[in-house]
Amino acid sequence: MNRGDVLAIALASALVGALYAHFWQPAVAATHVELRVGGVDAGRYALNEAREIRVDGRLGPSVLKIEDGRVRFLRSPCRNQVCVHSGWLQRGGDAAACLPNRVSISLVGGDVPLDGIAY
Amino acid sequence: MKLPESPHLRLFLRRLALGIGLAVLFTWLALRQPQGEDARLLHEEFLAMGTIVSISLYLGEDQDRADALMALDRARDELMAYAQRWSAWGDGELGRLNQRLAEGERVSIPAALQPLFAQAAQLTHASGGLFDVRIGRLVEIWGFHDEAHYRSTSPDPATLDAAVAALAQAPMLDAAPLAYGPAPAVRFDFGAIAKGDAADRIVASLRAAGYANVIVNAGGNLRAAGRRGARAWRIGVRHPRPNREQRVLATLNIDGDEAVITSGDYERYFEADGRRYHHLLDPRSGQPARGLQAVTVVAPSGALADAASTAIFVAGPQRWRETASALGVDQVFVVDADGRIEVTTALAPRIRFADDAAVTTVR
Repeated sequence: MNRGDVLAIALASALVGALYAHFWQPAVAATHVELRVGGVDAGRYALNEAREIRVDGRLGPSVLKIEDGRVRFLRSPCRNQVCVHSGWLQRGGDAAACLPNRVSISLVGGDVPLDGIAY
Repeated sequence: MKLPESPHLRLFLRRLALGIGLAVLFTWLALRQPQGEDARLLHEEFLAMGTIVSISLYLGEDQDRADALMALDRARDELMAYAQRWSAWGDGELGRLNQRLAEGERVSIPAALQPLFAQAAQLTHASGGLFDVRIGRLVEIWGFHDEAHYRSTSPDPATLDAAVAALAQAPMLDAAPLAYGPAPAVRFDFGAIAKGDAADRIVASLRAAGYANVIVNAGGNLRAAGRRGARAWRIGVRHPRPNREQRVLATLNIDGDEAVITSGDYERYFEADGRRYHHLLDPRSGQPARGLQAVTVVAPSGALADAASTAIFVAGPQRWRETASALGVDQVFVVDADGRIEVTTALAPRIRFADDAAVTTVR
């Protein structure tokens, strides 16, 4: 590598960085969690109220915890505890599931895309 | 171009060209027109009638963007002419009529204005005078006609009382008005119906040009027709007391041909001595109507929904339901002074309110 290469790489990196900064948009914070058991809707909860939700799955109760605009599996009667280890979820589109217990959650929001606002 | 001798420099230039080429490629990827669904959505926004008017079109498979943009331009021109014609304080047809009225003349109503005058007369009658286009003088005393010079104190009570008394004495509009006056105390102000009517007209004119899927937002007065491709148009209603998390109070879908129009105490107002003085004036007292924060009406016609939302707001929390049925609108919700919502049975099944909203369904 010579100085020219270094310069070319530096320029290209700077350009990529600038484009990234310009076009990247932060993930939208979710407003709700949708709950499903065996793929069937089992409720929708706002993330702005702290609470624990107990939901009965195939093996027994899974417990979800909502706090500070996020949600996580707190306990689940499964062996491997993958769902509990998924930790806190807070962005729209995030999801977690306890497959053995057939309980899944997915996060929706922030804003529903609207075509117009009456005011 | 002669290439430089130095092999190092040539290598540098080659790599530079490659780097710039990649950067241009990524820029193009990021900026290119959206394909598929969104490519068929057209949007135009402009200022008219003292507010922002936006029109969205969803194009059919065989419709051309350039043609549609021309149709949007024509719609905008028509709207500008409409705004000029109906401006109460301008120099169009209604403005000139108002000037002659102020000079004590009896005025004939130009043919182009007659249909909306007739509709206004009918709505005034049906609402028992809660909707009244003759209140321009009151609006003027409060200063709500002049966005640039809002007052910060309520007007002189003697001036206001005199204007209210003079309005009560002034003649009503005929059912099919061809002439009016003399009535120097009256200044016609169609501000509570013209934006809804204008939205109706834009939709009608775009439809006539072959664009069936349209949404018009005339300063928050929303009128939709058709659908947005595979799904219905999705409409939000502003929260009358928004906060950072919650700007939308309710959402509903419009599939077909309907207006969603809200009258609220947050649109034009000032605060003095801890009270909010807003533009929705009760023609009987000359004062801003109290008891509600917002009224939303869903109806087939923008003109009707616009006038009805105003009349229902003025009717207040006790009398809003009878006013709504007198005006023939059954899809309504109101937000009272404490933020509680009452929604009619006809609207409740198709509207979704924010989770923490206190909602009662009423007949």
